[in-house]
Amino acid sequence: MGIDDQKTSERVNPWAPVQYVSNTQTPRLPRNIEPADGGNILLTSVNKLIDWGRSNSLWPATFGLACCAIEMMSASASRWDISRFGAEVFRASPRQADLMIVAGRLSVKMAPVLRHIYDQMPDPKWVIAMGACASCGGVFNNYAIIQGVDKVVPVDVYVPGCPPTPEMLLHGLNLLQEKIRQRIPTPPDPLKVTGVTYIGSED
Amino acid sequence: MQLEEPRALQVDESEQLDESTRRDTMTINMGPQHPSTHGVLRLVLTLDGETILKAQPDIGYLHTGIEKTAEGKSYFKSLVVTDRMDYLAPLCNNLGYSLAVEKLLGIDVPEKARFARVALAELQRIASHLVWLGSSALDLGAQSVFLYCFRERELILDIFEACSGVRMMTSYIMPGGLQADLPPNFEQLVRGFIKIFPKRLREYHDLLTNNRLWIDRTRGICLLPAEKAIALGCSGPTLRGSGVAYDVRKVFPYSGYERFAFDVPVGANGDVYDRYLVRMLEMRESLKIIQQAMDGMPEGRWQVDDPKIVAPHKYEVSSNMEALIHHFKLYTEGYRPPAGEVYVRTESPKGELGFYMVSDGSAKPYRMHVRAPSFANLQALPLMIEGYLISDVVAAIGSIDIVLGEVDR
Amino acid sequence: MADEQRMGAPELATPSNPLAAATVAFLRERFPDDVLDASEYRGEMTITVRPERIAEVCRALRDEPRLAYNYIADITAVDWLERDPRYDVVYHLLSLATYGVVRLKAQVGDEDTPDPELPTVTTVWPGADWFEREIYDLFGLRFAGHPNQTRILMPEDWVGHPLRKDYPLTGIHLPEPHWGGQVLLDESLPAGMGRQTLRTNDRTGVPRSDNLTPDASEDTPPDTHANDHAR
Repeated sequence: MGIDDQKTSERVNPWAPVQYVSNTQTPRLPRNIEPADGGNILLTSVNKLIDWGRSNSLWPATFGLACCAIEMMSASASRWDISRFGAEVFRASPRQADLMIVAGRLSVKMAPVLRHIYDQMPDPKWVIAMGACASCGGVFNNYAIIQGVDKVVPVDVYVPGCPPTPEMLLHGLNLLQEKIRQRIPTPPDPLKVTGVTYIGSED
Repeated sequence: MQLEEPRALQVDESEQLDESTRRDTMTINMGPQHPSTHGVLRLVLTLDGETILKAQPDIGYLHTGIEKTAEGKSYFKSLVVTDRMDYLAPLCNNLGYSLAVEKLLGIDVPEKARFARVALAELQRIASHLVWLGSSALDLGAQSVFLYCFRERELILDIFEACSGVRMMTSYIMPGGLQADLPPNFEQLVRGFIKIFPKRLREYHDLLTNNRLWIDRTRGICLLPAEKAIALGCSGPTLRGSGVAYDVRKVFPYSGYERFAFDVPVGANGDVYDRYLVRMLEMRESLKIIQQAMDGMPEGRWQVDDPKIVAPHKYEVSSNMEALIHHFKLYTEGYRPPAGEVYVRTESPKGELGFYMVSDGSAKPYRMHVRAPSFANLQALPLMIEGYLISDVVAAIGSIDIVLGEVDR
Repeated sequence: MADEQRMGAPELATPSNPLAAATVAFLRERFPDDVLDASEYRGEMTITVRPERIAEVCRALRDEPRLAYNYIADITAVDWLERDPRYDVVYHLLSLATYGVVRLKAQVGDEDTPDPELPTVTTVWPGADWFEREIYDLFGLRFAGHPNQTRILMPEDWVGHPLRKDYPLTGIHLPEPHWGGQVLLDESLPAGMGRQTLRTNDRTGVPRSDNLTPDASEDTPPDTHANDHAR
């Protein structure tokens, strides 16, 4: 179908992504799903309201490890204002945060600490793996770097890049907000699947 | 203004001997996840109340095996991992690495590349100092300084993005010159930046330098005497704040720095306030250097004219057989410097950044060791904070300006 | 342009060359049996000394008033796997008074001593502390008299020295499907295996290719990651 055959109004946006959520995630629930508590109109609206509130006030825990942390700081600065999305309150204490942006490469010595901080966050919590090193080990495929933080914590959104520009991080944040609103569940906990416990992080 | 007494509390020897008056000390852990440790640094602090008795840094939480990774890649490919060590000043790392490899190869880059390298390195120095200023001011409570610094930093990152397409890890300075020619709007962007930055720098001075709160938090805090700094191997603003005028750009000039006129600010007391002032004045000197570099930038090649080191241009590769073969050999195998070893030192924003490269005649570096300035500067931290309060630890860490990426490599 | 570019990097010529010759002369006079070699490459002087005397040599270089090498810029090591002695320990010295630079080398290690030892220079420059700890951590060379000889970059219970040439880049892994050292705490490690801090104390949880079944409870979603491990 040639490009001249379509009228301008019918033309599909060529830049729209083919799919929003990767196939390695849990199966996507269809939109407008009936909630598990049986379709009570009042509860549905309340749930929608709660999801809207949660997605628009994500409080990140500061977990900047390396270079991506600087781009995360740029995302919270004035040009790419993360505060537009309600997420400018970077909590130093994980007990007060509900989003963990793992920004940077995770080394072997740091992995138990990451899990410890994740365990200290109260439910509901989400994780964004920011950068190539957090997503899959990135440039470094060696003895010192864990090849992807999803071996340690369950990750909801992966933001590729080395480092991702602040716009990409904000796009990832927007995807997470949509994911929260659509009630797509978090992937299973990798430590439960593999049965590993980290020395020093047992609660 | 009267200079107040340093706040180091003297530990009274006589009080400790009697069992009934034994002080209970507390050992606490600071980090590795902490908003003020500027990365993943862990400090084990032994406290008496709020006073630090002993501090023990624990590093290695960002160890990436960069030196071993570089042993497995060709010289051109290892350039990419050097960006990620001092991630606040990637171009300065690239420059140090490129100078070391060029020394191994025994080549010189053209004049335009030298001037451009100086201009880019000084822009990178300003960008790194802006992050330092923003984050250490944020740690001590001055939140708006953080936002202003990042606003200026975005302008510098725009320049880097125009040059190389990447904001941070550009790898734009490579052995042999630059990766690509400077963009046509480079001069306009840089001159525009030079025009507005002095006024912004005055804004930061207005906010902090004579601010009573800032002075109380930083004057007389965490002193580092000059002899101790030298003995511990400190460099950069950490050493210059204590009064030692050692700047690699002046003592061992590289990339044409001997042709530029600039001063090296040196502190007097070695406290946090002096190190702060040294870096603020360094930003002003960097502006001078950039101005001179832009005024004197010649026309010409931006890369060495040797197809055995730098790949020929793409249109030559598609039309000329030798160019094609050179391109192929360079990207599959790479150039082979003669066997030998070099140590090249450069002045990164943190201090003396040294690259010790050993070649065994093959296409991959046999050993790349990076002498990271923050690694040596961090050794001074336990000495600096002994006897001060725990809130001064935050000021001290900010004043040394450590980057854990290069401490741990 | 080509001739200008092949000039041999004049801009990097260090101004230390007269002092480098003086340093060699001083050492040859003071320690006649211990200076094994002195050579210059690309304007940098390298002096090879006997490893047992390295501390005295460094102290003499620091205390000599004409030379005054009071700054230790860098200490590192190089592993020449095929060579005997195996390791080069390289010291880069700088004098802040005269701006002289010199490189000292001490060669240690052979087939009989897999973990060679040499004296520490922390008594000469306290800043050598962490550099020597890093060499111990990554190469396994010990420094006699070091105040705190522990691992600095790798976890404390790491086995192996990563920067040695016979240590693989990707580390020593347990065979698939393990992805990091999931060895039970009370089991002994297989021979030649590295150990990480990721240990488990859960006997049922150590994944093998036959015990990976998705969790069948209804509130956990179906495990799409199960197949990833049974590769």
